[in-house]
Amino acid sequence: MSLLKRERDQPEESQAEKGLSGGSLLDLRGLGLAVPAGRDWRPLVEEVDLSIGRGEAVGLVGESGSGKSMTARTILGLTPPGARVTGDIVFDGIRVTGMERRALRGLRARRIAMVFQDPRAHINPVRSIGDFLTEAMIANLGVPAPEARARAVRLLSDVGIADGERRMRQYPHELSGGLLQRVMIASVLAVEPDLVLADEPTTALDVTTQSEVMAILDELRRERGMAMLLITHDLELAAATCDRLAVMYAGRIVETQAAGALTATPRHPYTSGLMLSRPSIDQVVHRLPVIPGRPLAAFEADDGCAFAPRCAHARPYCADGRPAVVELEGARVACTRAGELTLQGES
Amino acid sequence: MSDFVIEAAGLRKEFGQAVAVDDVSFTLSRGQSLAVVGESGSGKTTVARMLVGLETPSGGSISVCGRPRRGGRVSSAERRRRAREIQIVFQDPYSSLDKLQRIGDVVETSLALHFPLTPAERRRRALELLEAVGLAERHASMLPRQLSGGQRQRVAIARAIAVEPEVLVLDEAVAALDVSIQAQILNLLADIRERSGISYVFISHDLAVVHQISDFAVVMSGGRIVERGDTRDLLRDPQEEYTQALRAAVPRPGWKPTRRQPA
Ligand SMILES: Nc1ncnc2c1ncn2[C@@H]1O[C@H](COP(=O)(O)OP(=O)(O)OP(=O)(O)O)[C@@H](O)[C@H]1O
Ligand SMILES: Nc1ncnc2c1ncn2[C@@H]1O[C@H](COP(=O)(O)OP(=O)(O)O)[C@@H](O)[C@H]1O
Ligand code: SF4
Ligand SMILES: [Mg+2]
Ligand SMILES: [Mg+2]
Repeated sequence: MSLLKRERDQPEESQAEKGLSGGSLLDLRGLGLAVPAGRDWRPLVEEVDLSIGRGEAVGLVGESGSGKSMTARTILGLTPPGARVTGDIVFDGIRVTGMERRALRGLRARRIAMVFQDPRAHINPVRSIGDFLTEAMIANLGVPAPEARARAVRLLSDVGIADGERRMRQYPHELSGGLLQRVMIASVLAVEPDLVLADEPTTALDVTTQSEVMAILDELRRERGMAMLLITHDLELAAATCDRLAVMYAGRIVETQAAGALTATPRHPYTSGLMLSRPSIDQVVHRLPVIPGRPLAAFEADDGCAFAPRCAHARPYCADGRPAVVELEGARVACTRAGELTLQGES
Repeated sequence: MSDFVIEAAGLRKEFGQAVAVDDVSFTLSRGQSLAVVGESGSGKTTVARMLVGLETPSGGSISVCGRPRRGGRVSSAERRRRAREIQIVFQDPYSSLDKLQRIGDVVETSLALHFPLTPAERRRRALELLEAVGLAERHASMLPRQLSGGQRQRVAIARAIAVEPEVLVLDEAVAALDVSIQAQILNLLADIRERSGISYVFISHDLAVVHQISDFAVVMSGGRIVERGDTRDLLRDPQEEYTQALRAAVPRPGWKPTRRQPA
């Protein structure tokens, strides 16, 4: 905790530390997470390399079970009991991995915030919206109660809730999912974090409400210079709202590129397959081009390329060990054949 | 027999004071796929439940395959007859499958209810149906919990088409599935329709999915139909402000999220 405070208050020192993080706000280096399974370890996330710059929005995209949520949870130290974390997490020049729980809690409370898919499961149902919003400000930031309330009303107005005074007196069950998600975002803004981890923040919402919630997140993020990791299964949504995208499959990141480049020229067969198999609102095809089989979790994958059983471009040698990550015209791709393949992106 | 497999006229449903469905009318021709779209709470599921008789309309009328559906108690023979006319698949197949029943038996039970088959014939037919939805013989002996969500959804579809219904109602049946599995199921539904001439009522909030799977669409808001038409025309050039807003909110290349204008 004291380390964090010092870090924040003395910019010279954080400059000195910059070497460690290469200027980015968050750096995941070879991050792995495994949970105990009998006498063995069951890997859920493997060798994840990902960095997020200050104020940058990065989308982490993948199907269910690919390890997106576990990656975010590992950053916050919210791992399952007995889990083993490998690799490094460096936040603003500070190594978070191996940090004691208390210090991690401090970091979490002040500098990294999380928005969950289901706000109802994360907001205490018997406390009023007002209590929910002011608690963190009072407890973590030492804001006096009356000021915290005034600030909460302002925050509610920032997220598009006009009658904040009335809403503060209401309880979670009196609010729709869309309103409650806005309250969740307001609570995140209250602590003015440097990084927001948003795990499927709009998946439970209608498209119109999704558009609004994403617009609010986007606008406030830009105004306040917050960085964001947007976790979603919706590649279109991520592409439209993030600067850079990382695609996850079976616990690993298989491709990282600038959002526009990734959708125009995907470099990994899985990325291309994901895009093509999604129906389009602009055109109908006789049958959708499908990726056969089902997505795998990390521990289900064989030794070679985890995508090989589903990949139309697979060669026998794709089974020889995990494909190394290669740089290819600004993309980072984990496919042995990346250099020779021309894959279809968005039409 | 009438040309329409479904004729719904002036459908209304009240839950206490609240009106969930208000003056909803539409028809569905044989072999057609009709989408019902709209935001959460707009009344889509309530319409679906009335169609299959899980909910009694407060007003209006429904005919299925030319026979008016009246509420009240029905004989078991009539129930079976109705089941052969219309079947439903829900979003979450887990809750609609018996946790202790093996997959093969799920389909066989459905067959046994409607067709006089010997056990051996029934078994063979069940395996054919499982194969038709992309499952293998080894899945027949598994329990629902041993299958993935997409596989369970296939079982629910196999169970429904086992009855060879005229109409299949799908209520958000692909909403919870992963993108790659969703595509497989959408293709499967297209194949089944092409082969059998079955009709679909496809309920969804996902306009891209609806675009791919339906010929006609009705748009619901606040329990009412606010716009209807050929799906492609409707999505290319929506006339109502409500449909336009829905359309505009779908992420696509070059799209930016927007805040609603303050009312
Ligand atoms: N059994 C019930 N008792 C009381 N109200 C109900 C009942 N079932 C539905 N409603 C209400 O009727 C309205 C329409 O609900 P319905 O489930 O048909 O919406 P929907 O369009 O299917 O929404 P979603 O997209 O969320 O599934 C809602 O306001 C809902 O709360
Ligand atoms: N608490 C847990 N203990 C053990 N395994 C878990 C736990 N939570 C998730 N998993 C497993 O970890 C894998 C990745 O899950 P998750 O990160 O939630 O995926 P995603 O968010 O991409 O859908 C899945 O196989 C999931 O079943
Ligand atoms: S390494 Fe081989 S199997 Fe894996 S994605 Fe590339 S081409 Fe396909
Ligand atoms: Mg998740
Ligand atoms: Mg519904």
